[in-house]
Amino acid sequence: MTPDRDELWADMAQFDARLADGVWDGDVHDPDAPAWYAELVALIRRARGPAEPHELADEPVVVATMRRAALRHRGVPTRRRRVRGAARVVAMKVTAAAATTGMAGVAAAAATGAVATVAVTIAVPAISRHVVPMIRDEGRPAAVSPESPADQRGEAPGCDDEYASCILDERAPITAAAPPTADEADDPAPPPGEPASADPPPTTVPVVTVQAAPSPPTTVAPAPLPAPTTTVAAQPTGTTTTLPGTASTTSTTAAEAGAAHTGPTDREAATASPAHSEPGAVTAPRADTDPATMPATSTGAESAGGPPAERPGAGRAARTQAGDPPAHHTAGSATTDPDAVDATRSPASDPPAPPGEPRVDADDGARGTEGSHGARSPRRSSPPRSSSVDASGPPAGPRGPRR
Amino acid sequence: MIQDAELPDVVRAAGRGEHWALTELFRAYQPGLLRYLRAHEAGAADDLASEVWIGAARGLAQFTGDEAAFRAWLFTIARRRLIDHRRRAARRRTVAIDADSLERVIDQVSGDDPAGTVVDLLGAQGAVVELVAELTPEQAEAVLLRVVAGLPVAEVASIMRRPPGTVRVLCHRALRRLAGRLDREVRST
Repeated sequence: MTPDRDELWADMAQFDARLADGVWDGDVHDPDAPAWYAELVALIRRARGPAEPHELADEPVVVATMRRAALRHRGVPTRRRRVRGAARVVAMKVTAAAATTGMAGVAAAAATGAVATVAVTIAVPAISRHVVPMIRDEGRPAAVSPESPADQRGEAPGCDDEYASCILDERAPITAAAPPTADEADDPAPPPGEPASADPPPTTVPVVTVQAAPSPPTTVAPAPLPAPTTTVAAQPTGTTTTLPGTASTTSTTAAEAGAAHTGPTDREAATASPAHSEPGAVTAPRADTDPATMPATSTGAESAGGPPAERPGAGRAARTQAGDPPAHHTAGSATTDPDAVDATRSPASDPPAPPGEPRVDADDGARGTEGSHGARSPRRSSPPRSSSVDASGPPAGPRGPRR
Repeated sequence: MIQDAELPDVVRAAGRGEHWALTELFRAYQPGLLRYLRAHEAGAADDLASEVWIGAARGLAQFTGDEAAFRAWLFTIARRRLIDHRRRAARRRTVAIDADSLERVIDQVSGDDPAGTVVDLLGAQGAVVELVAELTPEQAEAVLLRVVAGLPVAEVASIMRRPPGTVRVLCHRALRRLAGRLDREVRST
């Protein structure tokens, strides 16, 4: 066979697929095949020869590894993993789309006012019914604005169920049974059945609704405060007076302090001050309500209406006269407002006075403040003799607690 | 070599982790796999073969096909591992070795058994090396897959991601080059 024929034979394999496959498989038995093809077949057969010992030397190790790998990936098909990954991506995209749609919807609802409507009709009542009592139950003193919903409802913050009576009924008449103040220590005790206050007789008085005017933000004492709008039985005048300005807020919060910790009887005492029912007294600016003059540690009671006890002036004079220990800046501690004094009385220690009977307060109001500072400070028994008190109306001595 | 009829059962059992099936697969395909890898990367062929088998074991439970498909699948894994190895090697830093160190390495490799080296060269791996000694990388790849792995042209084309005609051309050019070299050897003897 000439080299040209050998090349021609090799070229034939290019066009004959079967021949080509046979050549590379080494099973062409062509007598015209070139001599080098025998060498090629020998190489192919050697290359495809049986396994040699050194080629299987790693069998135990490799098979054991294969077994572990097979067992580990036995029940997890690859396709399922891919589908799972794709589903995960789709889920993420769907979630993102839903979140975007939700946000857009909320924004649109907010723009159209639907959110505000829902909030007013659903959220606010729900919060007032459920969240606010829960917060109260925790017993933590919180800064409550007089304009809070609870206050507007007439509820005192921190008023538990046992003090459900602290919710004021604005329509219910309240019998004014103002306890005597320390000024009456020298005075003989009023006979039973007679009111302690000389001015307002213990009669069923009409309701005086006191609304809290917008006041500057003040820090309310830890002592629970009732609503700024409350029912104050002031005088048997039968007039309903809305106290504007700071003075009204002061008197209201003082009454709130009383309502928060005392029963209706305390409210009677708290509301027995004619100063709050008199327009002149209400409109008179009180120095103790000036936030600028308040000490930094002023409490809610101070901001509520009473002057700070440490303040020189009427408050100190009142404390000195009453013989009280140094007042702490707690709820009702520094106030010269007799209403506030009575307001912080504890309902637990104060048995409800019978209607029409004067109330004798022997409690120091420790329950009302719920704190270490407010144990005795509410018993500001001396009538205020400062100018602010004078400006607030007639002396409130008959309404102070008896020392 | 496992017969077509037996392979599905063997693969299924191997997918369940049965030792006998794994052993049978390993003994059937390890030689060709190792020769293929050694033809490309003699120094890392054993490690690469282990990686290939582990990768195959992970997918045994999901494999479906006949014996040719299994062989093609196995050598596909091997080729990808080989490519990964070459990528890693390309990123490695090359350290120059002096002549003395190189001689010591050669002595350690050859050791006291030069006959073993000769047997290896005369054995299957020697034949493989002789087959692809003067071929281009693509031709060598096509010939190795065609001869050592025993795959048809279509499977080789699929593994190499080339058209079947291209694979045939590569194999034909490899044959022409082998023919020339072998013809010279025959004439010389």
